[in-house]
Amino acid sequence: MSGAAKKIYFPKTRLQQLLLRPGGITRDQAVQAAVSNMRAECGDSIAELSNAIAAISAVAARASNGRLSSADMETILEQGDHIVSLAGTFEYEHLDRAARALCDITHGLLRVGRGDAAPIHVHVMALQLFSPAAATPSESEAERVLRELDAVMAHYQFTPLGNQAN
Amino acid sequence: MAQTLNFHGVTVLVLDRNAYYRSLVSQMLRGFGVQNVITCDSGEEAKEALKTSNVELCIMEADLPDMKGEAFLNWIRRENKEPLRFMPVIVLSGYAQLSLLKETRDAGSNLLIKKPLSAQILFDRLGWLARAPRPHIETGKFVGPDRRFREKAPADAAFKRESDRPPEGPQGAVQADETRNPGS
Repeated sequence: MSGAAKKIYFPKTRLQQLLLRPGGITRDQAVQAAVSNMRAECGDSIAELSNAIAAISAVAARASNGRLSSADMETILEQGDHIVSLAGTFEYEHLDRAARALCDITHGLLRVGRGDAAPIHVHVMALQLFSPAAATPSESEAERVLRELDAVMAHYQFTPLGNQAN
Repeated sequence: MAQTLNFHGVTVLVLDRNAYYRSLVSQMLRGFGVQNVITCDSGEEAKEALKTSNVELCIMEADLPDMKGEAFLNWIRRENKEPLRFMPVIVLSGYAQLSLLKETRDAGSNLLIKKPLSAQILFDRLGWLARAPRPHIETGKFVGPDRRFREKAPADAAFKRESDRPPEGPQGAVQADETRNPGS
């Protein structure tokens, strides 16, 4: 049986050559410096998260007859994804869970071609509650809200994005 | 003694649609000692930057605003000569982009990392790229680093068997031709 030619190279990349030179930085030193630099950005992260939540809220408010267009849903998904990334980086746990839930529900609605605005509004309210710019809710209040988001997901029976990737 | 990585003189291209996230990754890299960070917000802008600058590493998001991450990777791997063709590429995936990971792996990315990105993970993965290089495979269907590897920390010795060791050759790169079915 013949097949297409297969070529195998063993390139020494310039990255490899540079990184393995003597000197440099240990893992602990590198992580410490990186975290220090990122902390300097932390203040801006609150504004960035607030802007993303406001952007989602503004798009959700455009709903007509309880429906959102697929383009609006795509925008919500993109902003929701950004919130997940930042909330995870800066360890806003409740916001992270609410934003993941928003992505799950939005992705599910897009997949089945529905533009239901009501579940989006519920998630937007949760994001606003968990925003680092807002007063911190009690643990019990936060868990109650997150359980309600789980109930919305259960109602639609969508598969969470995190499960789909595995 | 703790192992070190020397980032002096390394140029990294960070490609992400979001300015804040680009800045975050850049700050992380500067903490490691990277002095040259090029940031781009689109695939086309990144292509131009790669044509005009010597870049040693690309960190990109899985989905770009103007093209699929897969298309950008194909451009690097199939339409360029070395060293750009072999440039390590790390793909970052947002939560809503996880379904794209397989596509970007099959388009020739070296490593996939789910956001949120932490400094620890990035440093470890860069150490992995440096200490456990993988062969670059070219077949009709696939061009990129060998996808057959275990996702665990690299051993001190990157290769398990003596026969796995790449032979030395001119410019440090050796090419072997095989004519069996591509199976990588």
